[in-house]
Amino acid sequence: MKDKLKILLNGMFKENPVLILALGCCSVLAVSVSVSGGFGMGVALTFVLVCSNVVISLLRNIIPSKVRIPCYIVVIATFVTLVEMLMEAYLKSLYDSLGVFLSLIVVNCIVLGRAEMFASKHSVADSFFDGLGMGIGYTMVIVGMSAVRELFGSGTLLGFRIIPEGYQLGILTQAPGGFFLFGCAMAILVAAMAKRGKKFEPKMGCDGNCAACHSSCDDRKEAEAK
Amino acid sequence: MTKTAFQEYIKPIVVLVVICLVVSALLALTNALTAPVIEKNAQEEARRIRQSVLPDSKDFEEIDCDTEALDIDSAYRETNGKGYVVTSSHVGYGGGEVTVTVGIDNDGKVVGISADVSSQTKGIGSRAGERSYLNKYMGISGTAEGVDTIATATRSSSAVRQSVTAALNAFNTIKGGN
Repeated sequence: MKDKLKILLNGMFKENPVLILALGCCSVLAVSVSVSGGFGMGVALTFVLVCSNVVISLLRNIIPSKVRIPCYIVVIATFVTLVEMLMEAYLKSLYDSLGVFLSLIVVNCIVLGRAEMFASKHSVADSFFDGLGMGIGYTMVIVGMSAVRELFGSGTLLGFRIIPEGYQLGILTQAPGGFFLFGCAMAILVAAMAKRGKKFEPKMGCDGNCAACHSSCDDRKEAEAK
Repeated sequence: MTKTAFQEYIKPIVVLVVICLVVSALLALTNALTAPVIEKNAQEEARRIRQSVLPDSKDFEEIDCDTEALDIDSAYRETNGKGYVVTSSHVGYGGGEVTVTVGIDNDGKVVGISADVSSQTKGIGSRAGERSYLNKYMGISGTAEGVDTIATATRSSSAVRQSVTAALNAFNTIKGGN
């Protein structure tokens, strides 16, 4: 049970998908202007991530490596379409506020990245917790950023007015404000981890993470040959 | 161990095809369950908008008319004779459609208007859907050509104006036919 907890916490802090792995940033920047929208996006992504991780882990010994990416995309797209249809039917207002970003979960790099990096190599239970941890990590970041952007940018929180009209930092609701905040959030997490004695090593180069890399190297050929 | 031709060429195709078939069946099932709910929601929403543009209105009946020739989407008559509601869409900026629903009383006067400008640029074109602009159409009759468009949001506001004019024309045609 302890290793499962470790996998769960891994996605939330040490390998936070958004702030450390820098995956799925576009939807975070775009949707984090209101807390309700951000939370909805986080839940939708977590659902897709958990389901696709479990299914891909179940099929990991059946899917031939030649067609693995198309298989992953089909599985992921299925769950996204499911969420989309259910949300349009039962949560219309959330569906309208998420707009195109809901469909774009299909190409969200977190989902595909975890399928390739984790689910295709680990057991179903581990993949479930990885998906859950990554999803919670994503949700925490997007909700946190939404709270700051909505409170100081629009002066409201969950739609209730907190700061009177005319005292807002309008830029926070725009794209540049999103980037500023995104950078600050990254810095805060790295600083917090450094304080706890965990050395932060940005994994920008190759660390065996073939999903995030577009080049072809000897290691990769070897891994694919196996 | 060398891979057999089956493993090399046939298996990937079979696996992918089977996965696609299974998920298609799953999605078809979900669609069958949710499509009626989505359809019902859309109708509810349309009815709510119609009620909001025509004061004291309750139920509506659709008027059978040549919507294409009239350049409108749909026309409804209030069942108690309170007036008419006409919906019309025109292309605004960037190819996105602006859908306008106009409530017209029996004298041909605009008594309510609602515009869906979600396809227009937020903060610029979307101003054509704000109350302060839409209120300029209240009370007009015959044509909307006299209402000014918004500078810097010309195309979005022109789409609104075109739609209102089309709605008023449609009203005259329908009324004249009665």
